[in-house]
Amino acid sequence: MADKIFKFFSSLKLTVACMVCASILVFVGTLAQVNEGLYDAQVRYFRSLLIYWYPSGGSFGIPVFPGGYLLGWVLLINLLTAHYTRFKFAWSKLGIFMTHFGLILLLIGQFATERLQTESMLELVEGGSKNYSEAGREVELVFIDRSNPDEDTVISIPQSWLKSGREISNPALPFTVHIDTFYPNSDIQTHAPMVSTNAVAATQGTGAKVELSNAPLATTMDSRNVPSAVISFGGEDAPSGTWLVSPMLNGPEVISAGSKNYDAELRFTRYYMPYSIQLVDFKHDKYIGTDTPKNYSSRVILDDPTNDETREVTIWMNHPLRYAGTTYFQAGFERGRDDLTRLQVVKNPTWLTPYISVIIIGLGLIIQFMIHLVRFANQRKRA
Amino acid sequence: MFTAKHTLTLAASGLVVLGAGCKDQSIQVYQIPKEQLKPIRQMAETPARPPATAPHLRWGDLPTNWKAKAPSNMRAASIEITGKDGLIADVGAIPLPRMAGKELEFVNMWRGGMNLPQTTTNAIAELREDVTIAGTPGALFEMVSEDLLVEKKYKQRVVVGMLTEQDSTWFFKLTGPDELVAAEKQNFVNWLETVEIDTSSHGPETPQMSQTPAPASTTSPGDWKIPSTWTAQPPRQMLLASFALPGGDAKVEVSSLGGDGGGLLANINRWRGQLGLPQASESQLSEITSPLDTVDGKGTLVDIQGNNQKLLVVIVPHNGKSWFYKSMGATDVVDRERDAFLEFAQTAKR
Repeated sequence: MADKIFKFFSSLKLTVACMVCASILVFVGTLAQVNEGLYDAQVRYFRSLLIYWYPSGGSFGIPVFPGGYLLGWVLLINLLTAHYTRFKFAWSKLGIFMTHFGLILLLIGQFATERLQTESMLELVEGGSKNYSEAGREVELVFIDRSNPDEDTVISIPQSWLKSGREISNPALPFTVHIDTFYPNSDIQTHAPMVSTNAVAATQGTGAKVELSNAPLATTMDSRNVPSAVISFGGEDAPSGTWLVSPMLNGPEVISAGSKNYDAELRFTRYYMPYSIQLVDFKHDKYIGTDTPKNYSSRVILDDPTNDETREVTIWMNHPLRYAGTTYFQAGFERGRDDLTRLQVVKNPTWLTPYISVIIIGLGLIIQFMIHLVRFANQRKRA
Repeated sequence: MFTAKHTLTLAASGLVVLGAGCKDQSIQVYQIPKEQLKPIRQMAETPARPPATAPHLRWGDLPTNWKAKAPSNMRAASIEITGKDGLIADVGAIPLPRMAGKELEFVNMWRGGMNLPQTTTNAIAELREDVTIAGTPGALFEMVSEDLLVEKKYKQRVVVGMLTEQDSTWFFKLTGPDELVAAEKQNFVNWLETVEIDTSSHGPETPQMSQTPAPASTTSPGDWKIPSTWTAQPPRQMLLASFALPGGDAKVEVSSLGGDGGGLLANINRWRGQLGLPQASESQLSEITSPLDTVDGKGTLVDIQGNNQKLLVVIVPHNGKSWFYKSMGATDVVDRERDAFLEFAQTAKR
């Protein structure tokens, strides 16, 4: 039995089948980005083990095709087992071994990137300083205890936990949180009394003055989903009523539980850093007589008290700031404003692996080619 | 018999399972330094909003399950009624100027919001009940939805008391789940008798809505082709954008409302009222309105000429909402900016 499994995984037919499936997947997944949006299509087709088809009206999905993760891992196993069974090391095959090793490193590196990389945005106004960046898509439901005069305690519930009808508890919270409604994309409008017959979003706080509606998921590159949730609380000292939380609201709701107050907020996930970045100056040069951007740059002050480091850095296109394993790219600005910058913040501990992999693959191909060339030349010489 | 080969295969398979796992998505608890920075955009840009005013209402004792809340927006009264199973109904009161004689428009506006068919002048008499509001004869209208509009579980019932006094019409509206509102109707009618109208004023609260981030479906004013001679005004409640027009007292405003925004005729008559013009009938709509092509499909141009004042409105239905682009003010300014305004409304992305 084990032999059969091993034989299956090391077979060349499996390699070909995976390659064909990968080609189909890339084709279908690329087309799907038109209707499903770049991010959602990537998640569904490439960052998944299986691709599911949902029958209309059905509540469950039927797997119909292998996803990108499954194909990648099967190819990796296929490569490893094939190497073990069919390839015997010889100096004459050094190039092939190096090429395959580079491929293995590339695959593993890509999986590691998927798991370990975080991408976020840092938006700064001239004179402003921040010690955190914010995710572009994922939100977190946070409860902040500000009772300690020295520091705030943040209890962060990730977006994957926020599903309508779900009950959430944590030892750090004196109440349970019930997600009454969660919309992955939403719209909020001021409730116009006597004009609108729609219900207000919640019974307490700002939610009692606005209307909440579900919005279609964003599918274009220049738009993003803004989720909202209506929550309520359970427990002995739990506050009563329902509360609306959304990144569209200006600031948190203050929830009283027993003798303590908590700031409750649904916000784009924050990534805190032990240092701060302050924007000194933002420059946005255009080609003369046009609105076409020529160059934009951000002069910032990096202040890291833990390393006793304070320095001024200029970030501009193709010249990112790399600091403490994090890279800050000049990413954008806001039209009509010349005092606001947006930096893309990328933290990827495995960012070097693609470079190393490609170098190894390239060297391997050159070495193998040279071995064949030399052998061919020698044969011709002998002939 | 397991060999090294098999062990290798199993180990690699284990990697599949590990590799396919999700990122860490557990609840995080962590400490951060006290925040010293406020969102900088809001520090400088949020304009001081002049408080709007609305008359006070006074009333006697409320039933035990009625809880008065602080007046908000333009509401002079706001009361929450709690029923069985935690069901909640809402009572609100608001005065609106120059709304006398518009019972039909209002009733049809509410019926439209409840997915009920429009009613007629003759039929409205049957819907009307006589009640006493603040010691004065008033009218009461009651509607029940066919659809489950409340939490998708309950029909919605709306009971509205209307009282016209001098130049203002008062609307007292009880809204909520069908059974709860039906059970509380008599309490509501009793409450209407006890209310007293006080013309002293108070400043209402306004919902605090963030200017950023915009929802995905909203296009920022930055994507609009705004004529360079227009001057952007500070944002105001209910408005998405506001611009002062050059050379006189006129402005352009952009707003959006869900659905049809209350209905074309009701809106036109409201605007005509603002310009001191008599009400228009359904048959006059074709004289006042004309179709207009926009980047998001067919829109409607409304052209209303008052005494020295003019109003141009482009209404564009898009994605379940109605977008209103209004150019209003001194006739000569509105006329001069007409082409620029129409181009703006036709090309603005929604």
